[in-house]
Amino acid sequence: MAEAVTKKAPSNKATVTLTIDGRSVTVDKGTTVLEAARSLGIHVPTFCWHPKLKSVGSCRMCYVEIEKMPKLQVSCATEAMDGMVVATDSDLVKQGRRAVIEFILMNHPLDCPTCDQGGECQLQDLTFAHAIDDSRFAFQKERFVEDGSVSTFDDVQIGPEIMLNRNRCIQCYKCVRANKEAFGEFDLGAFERGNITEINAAPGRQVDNPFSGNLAEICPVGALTGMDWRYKIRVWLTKTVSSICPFTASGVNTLMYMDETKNRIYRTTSRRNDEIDDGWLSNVSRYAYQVVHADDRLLTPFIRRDGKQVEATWDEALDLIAKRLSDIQDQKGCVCIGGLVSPRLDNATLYGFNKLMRHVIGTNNVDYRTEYRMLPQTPEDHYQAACSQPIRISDVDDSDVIVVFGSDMLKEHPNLYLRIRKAFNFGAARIFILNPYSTKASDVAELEMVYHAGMDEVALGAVCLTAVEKGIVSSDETDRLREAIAFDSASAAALACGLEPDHLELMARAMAEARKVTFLAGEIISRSREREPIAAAICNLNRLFSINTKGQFGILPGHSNSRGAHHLGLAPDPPASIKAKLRSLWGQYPDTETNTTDSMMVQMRKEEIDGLIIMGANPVMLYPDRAFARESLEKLDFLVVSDLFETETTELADVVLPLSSWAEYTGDYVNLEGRVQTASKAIHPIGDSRPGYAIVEAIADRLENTLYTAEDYRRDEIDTMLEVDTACPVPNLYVPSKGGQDEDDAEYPIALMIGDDPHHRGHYTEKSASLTSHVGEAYLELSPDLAAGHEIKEGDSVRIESPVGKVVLPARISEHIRNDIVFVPRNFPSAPVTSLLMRKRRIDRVRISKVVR
Amino acid sequence: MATETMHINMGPQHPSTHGVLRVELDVDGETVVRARPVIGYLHTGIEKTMESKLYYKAIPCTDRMDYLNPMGNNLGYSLAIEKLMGIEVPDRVKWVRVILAELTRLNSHIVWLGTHALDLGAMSMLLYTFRERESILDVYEACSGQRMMSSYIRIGGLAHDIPRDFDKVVKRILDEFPDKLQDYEALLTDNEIFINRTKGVAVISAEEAINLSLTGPMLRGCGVNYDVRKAEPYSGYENFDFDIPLGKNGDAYDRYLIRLAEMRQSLRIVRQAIDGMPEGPYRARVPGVVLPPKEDVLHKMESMIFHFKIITEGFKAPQGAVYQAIESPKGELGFYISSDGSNKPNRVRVRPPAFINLGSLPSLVEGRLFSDVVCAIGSIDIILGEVDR
Amino acid sequence: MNVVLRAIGNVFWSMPKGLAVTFKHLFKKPVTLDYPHQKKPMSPRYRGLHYLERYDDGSERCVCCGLCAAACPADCIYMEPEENEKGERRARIYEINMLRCIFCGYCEEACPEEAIFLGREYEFSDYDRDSFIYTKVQMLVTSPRKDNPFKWIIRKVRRVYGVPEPSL
Repeated sequence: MAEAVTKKAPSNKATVTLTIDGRSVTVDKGTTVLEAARSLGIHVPTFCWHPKLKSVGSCRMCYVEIEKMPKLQVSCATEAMDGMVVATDSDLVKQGRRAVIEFILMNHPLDCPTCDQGGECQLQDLTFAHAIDDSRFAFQKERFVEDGSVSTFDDVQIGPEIMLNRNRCIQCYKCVRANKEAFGEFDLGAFERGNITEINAAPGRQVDNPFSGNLAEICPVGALTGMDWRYKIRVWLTKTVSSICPFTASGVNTLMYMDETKNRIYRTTSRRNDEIDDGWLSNVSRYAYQVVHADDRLLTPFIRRDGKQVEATWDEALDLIAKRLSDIQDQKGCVCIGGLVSPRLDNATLYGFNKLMRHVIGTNNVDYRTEYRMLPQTPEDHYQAACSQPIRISDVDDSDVIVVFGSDMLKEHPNLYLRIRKAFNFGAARIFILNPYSTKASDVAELEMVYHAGMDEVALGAVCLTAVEKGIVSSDETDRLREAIAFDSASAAALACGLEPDHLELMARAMAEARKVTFLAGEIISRSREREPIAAAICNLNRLFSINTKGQFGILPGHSNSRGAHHLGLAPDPPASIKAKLRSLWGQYPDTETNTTDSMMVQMRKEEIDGLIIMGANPVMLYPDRAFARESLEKLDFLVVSDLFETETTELADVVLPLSSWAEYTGDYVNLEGRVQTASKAIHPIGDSRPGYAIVEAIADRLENTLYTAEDYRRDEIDTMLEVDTACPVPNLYVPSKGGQDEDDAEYPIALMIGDDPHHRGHYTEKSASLTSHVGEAYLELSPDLAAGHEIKEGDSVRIESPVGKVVLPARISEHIRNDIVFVPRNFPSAPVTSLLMRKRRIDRVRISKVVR
Repeated sequence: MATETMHINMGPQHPSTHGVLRVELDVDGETVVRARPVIGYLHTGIEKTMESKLYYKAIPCTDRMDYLNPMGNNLGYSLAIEKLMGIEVPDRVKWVRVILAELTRLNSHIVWLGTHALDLGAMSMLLYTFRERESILDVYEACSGQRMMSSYIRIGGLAHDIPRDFDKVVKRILDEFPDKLQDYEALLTDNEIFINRTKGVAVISAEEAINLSLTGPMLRGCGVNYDVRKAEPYSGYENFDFDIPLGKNGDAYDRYLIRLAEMRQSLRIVRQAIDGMPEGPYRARVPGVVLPPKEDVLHKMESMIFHFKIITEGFKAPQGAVYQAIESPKGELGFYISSDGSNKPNRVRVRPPAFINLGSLPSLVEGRLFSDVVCAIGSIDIILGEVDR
Repeated sequence: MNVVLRAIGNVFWSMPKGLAVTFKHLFKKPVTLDYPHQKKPMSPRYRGLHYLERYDDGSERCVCCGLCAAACPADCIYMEPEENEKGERRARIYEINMLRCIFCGYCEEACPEEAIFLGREYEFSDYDRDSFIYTKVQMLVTSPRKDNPFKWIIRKVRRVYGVPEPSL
């Protein structure tokens, strides 16, 4: 708790020594008295102070007495000085605090019985601790009344999930400050002054930013409360369970509030971990728990009988799976069975799945990357190397230069996005963004460079060439670099990808001069067909600027346990070290052909794969070629799908198994840093669902091959697999990085980008009512100019056509996006956007037209 | 003639065991050779239940131990917590508490008198005593709203102020009760049968009584002058003028006489208290421990918050342990409470007088006649709710 | 000799003394009541069956704050709040299990909205255990009770903005 954000101290690190309550403490110069006291473990009460925000000293609750100062001082805004003598608990201080509380409560309504904060309210706690139970103010309190209000409950909804009660507000401004400083959002503000100061949504706006849930959490009183917690249950009736968010790759730490008797989770709050999340949750992490309690969870297994899926018992389902799988094994061989698994599942499930497929069934047809197109059967070395680099989230804070490449940080890694903002606001970071379309992080970026879609590796090559040509970095292997990049000059490369040479020079210079660089690439790269050449370009850049020696670089994994899936050997052809470990654990390792998701689908079409087990994944919806995926799966003789909900994939299944969600069993997840974190069991499995590891173990049992002889062995084997050497080698040479390009098609001029909405992730979050109240349906995001060209207005229905399909979506006009590109979120089953995609293309192109009624 | 001892189980369902006490008796003819009280049939885990509750929520548990002495139990527990928290209650509270504790003593003693006499064959006593008890229960009801499980005495004060006609009702009891006591004496004190059944029966010596750590009328019946109200005055007992009646022989008859005399002393105390009742608040105002007055809760924000927090979270007691004893009708009722600094007691241990006095049963009856066992049990004055807790 | 004296004393003094008491009672009015035809009036504070009070304007007082359930030593109160059409917090479910209830009156004492009171009814026996779970509908009075002992201190309408009555 003692650690707090301060503007970066000067490098000489001057210190001061002061005495607090008779104890001496030495702190860095610039530390506040409050932080110095906290570092001693002395609790100074506060309302407005937040460890991750700048102090404003508005609540006056943190009064301390400092010798030689005539009046009480607010410790959160007083800098510690040498020789200060501070008393935090003297009679004068107590008197001061009591007076502060008396003033705060002067206009506070007697609302505790109706207030959702009651029981966890800081105002209650501090009043209880510092005041007396009597009041001297016997007059009518100031009251904000909404027009047309018919009750004494003056709640106003200011956002999809935020309820405001201005009467309860104590004007600590924590919400406004967090919104502005930490999230960079301006949809909430403070208006008026004095007695009638009010916090409210900006005029004409709603508080609906992707981090808005935090505002209700940090509000010390009941002025801002969450709609999901509104009038549900009292906090003292709930128990808290520590968990993590399974929808973010950074593995945000959360706390779940659950009621044992009802087997229900009531809300999620943050469990501050300064290494990962700083105590901020994105709305996805916060409201994802509602997925667990969605009405349409699968509750029993289903078996297809006479073309229809009918309810069945677990015994029936497992017997059928065992019988059909052994039949396929006997008749056509084990290579005709494949398995796809979601990298959102926990380690035990993933490892068990791997063991089931490779050890019990004996096939190498295993993959966890079901959302990437055209994965080759042989491993991609540079991509793999770039993906396995050690990354520390907290290292972002003190980086001088942060480069974001091919990643919409807000949508993919919301907490890294906040880190980048923090590095800009509180550190000294210069931020550069290289993306095919403009993203939300651009407002903190020194430079945002938007290159033509599909020119990712060229853009990086242009940076390298600029650096060499301008003499920013010296390299003996310039020719080799040029050869690798396949462009002769920086200007040619810059022209090809649509970037300004000056900008490239600025960025190259910043990277070369920086003390510490963080280079982060994201899903736009991983999802690209040419991920290998782009990764090679990243490796080249790393070598040229020696990023890995003075900072960190890497392609960030997309899912909460992608890193774990890789370490546990879920890739079709895992690296030799992993293979060796598996062989020593199992005594054998199959040497059959290795197939990725993509090549498995090709084989299914050739009827070379007949049986498939899918766990937690939804390839029909999310594989970037819906028709192809669907047709492939339809060719299967036997398909087992285990999922939380009925999905497009379960529709095709012969056996559907209900899967338990992350909150229903204890599981470990490896976040993007390689940190193993545990999500504890909050509630019992809903319906008849079972955790993933139990399902694979049951299937293995039915195949007369027990996965583990004892419970401990599972843990031991996984621990062995996760003992990873973090130092991952990077190619020590400049490597060719020229990627292939599609043929131009004049009929379809606009590039289509598909990704997650800021409020959604994957195919589950649509079941969360709080998230759909922010964004409830798919949309087409396009630039004002493009919209004007097609006479499209906000909200109009737009037809999007590609060579393979068409979808009609409402338009959303955004200043952020370029004219030759449109963005569509992929999270909504009602809008099958992947049907527009073709797996063989690098960039999908579409044309749009307004639907005229 | 060759004889052998017979093993007899008296109880647990037996009219004269005053609850569910079982006494294992070995009798040789009519003589008791060995007696062993077996308890636990009414064990309700009250001490453990209290440990799982916030301090203020444990008060209804205390009502249910000695159900003839609910106010006394409330008082003992409240005094213990007040000692732990260092709370000084207003004089009015002390005076009301004394009145109620002494009325409770009357209540307990007359019920004992009725049942004990019934055990010994005097049927009409029970009817008379229960008639008088009614007027005391009416006082309970008027104060607390319930006739037995009053929960009226709270930490730091009382649940409500006393009702407006409290002194009128109490004074009526004071006026009527001496006559009733005279009636009881007329029926029993000189009654040959009663004397024959009690005099020289269930005798215990002063030395043995002390060794068995007996308290209350059991101890004073042997002539040992020990009364917590005098020895360690609590709740303002030092302000009242009263005597401690003592016996000589330590037999059931002396205990009877002592209890009758105690009732007279109780009336004396109540009269002093009701005449000298000070005005003032009915609760100490200790922010964070005692609930603020309800009128404030409805109009003042601070009071509302304190009310809310005390109800939901209770208060945290300082670390440490206290022992507080009161003189219950049966003897020394002690509450030992150890606190670990949280809002629930770490350990609650009750020193129940009835349980410890019951331990003297073998000494009272061994070597005596079988028919005296009933008289002995009755004269101890046990309440199984308190013995087993 | 002694025995004879005692016997004489017994016959002519002790026994008649006791019998006189008994005879005296022959001429007294009975103290018992002919229940159930006659009932003893309960004191105003009597802690009997709970009821949920209303404000003078007819609106429910209970806001389902949960303090009664928190104060309940027997854990016999269960409630679930909801938001009514006026945006007010109200109890959707409010149940008291009268078999668990020990009628200690803590709920009444804890209630910060003066909504729950213990009435004077003490006769509510029934044939099955389920019927002892009293619901909100069963306990909510139709109009403010006239015999509420706290009628003169409690608020007439809900007011949370200080002492004077708000001009609603």
